[in-house]
Amino acid sequence: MLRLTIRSEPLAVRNGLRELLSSAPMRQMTRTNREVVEIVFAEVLNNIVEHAYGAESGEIAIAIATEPGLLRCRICDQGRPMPGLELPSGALCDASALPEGGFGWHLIRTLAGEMHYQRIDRQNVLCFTLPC
Amino acid sequence: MQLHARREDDLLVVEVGEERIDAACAIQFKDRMRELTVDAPARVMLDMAAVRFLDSSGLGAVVAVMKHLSPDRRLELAALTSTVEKVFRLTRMDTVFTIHPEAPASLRDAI
Repeated sequence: MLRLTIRSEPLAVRNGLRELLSSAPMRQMTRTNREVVEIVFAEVLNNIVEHAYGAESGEIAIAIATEPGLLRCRICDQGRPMPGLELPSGALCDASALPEGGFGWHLIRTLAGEMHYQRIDRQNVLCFTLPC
Repeated sequence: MQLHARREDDLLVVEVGEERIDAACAIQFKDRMRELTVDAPARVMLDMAAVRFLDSSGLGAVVAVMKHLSPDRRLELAALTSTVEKVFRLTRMDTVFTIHPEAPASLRDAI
């Protein structure tokens, strides 16, 4: 079990990702799977910084457990709840429309499995799995 | 935001000297690119060889630069590394850019 707590700021997200990617569970993973970890965590953490906390600051608690072939991940924050208490669908605009956003949830939904969001006691709890 | 521009005939090559184009620096990237491309020729090529990582903010910034340059100038990409290529491909934004395996070598170096 790996536990990491970071402040909800872009540079703290960068440092947290670096720490996560160099942790023991990651060292045995293939490069491809490590890249997926970095992409999904960057998107999830950026969303929390930008949308859950916004102008407020707070902490983000990350917990990761290794299972055979899987990383089981849980991310908690005390920011605003997800709109409608639901995860965005991650639908993409047509690429030729040159969208500048809406990519994040598509990346998360495409790469992560068993994704589950709950609002518990004024906390957002997001769980998902990644290949390992 | 380390960006180094060099003019090669009708092409402006902008070497990105950062390992990440991400939420922490996407806005600076966009702003700096606008400054560098004020007098850009018809083709601008982003040399991404040093960029190990790009997230959705970084992708949005690259698209914004492309839209800012158009219609008179075209933004092309070169030397996408593994994670960067994956992000462009999964979002299908790789279909919107001409992507080169690498940027052309500097003509100056050949002398």
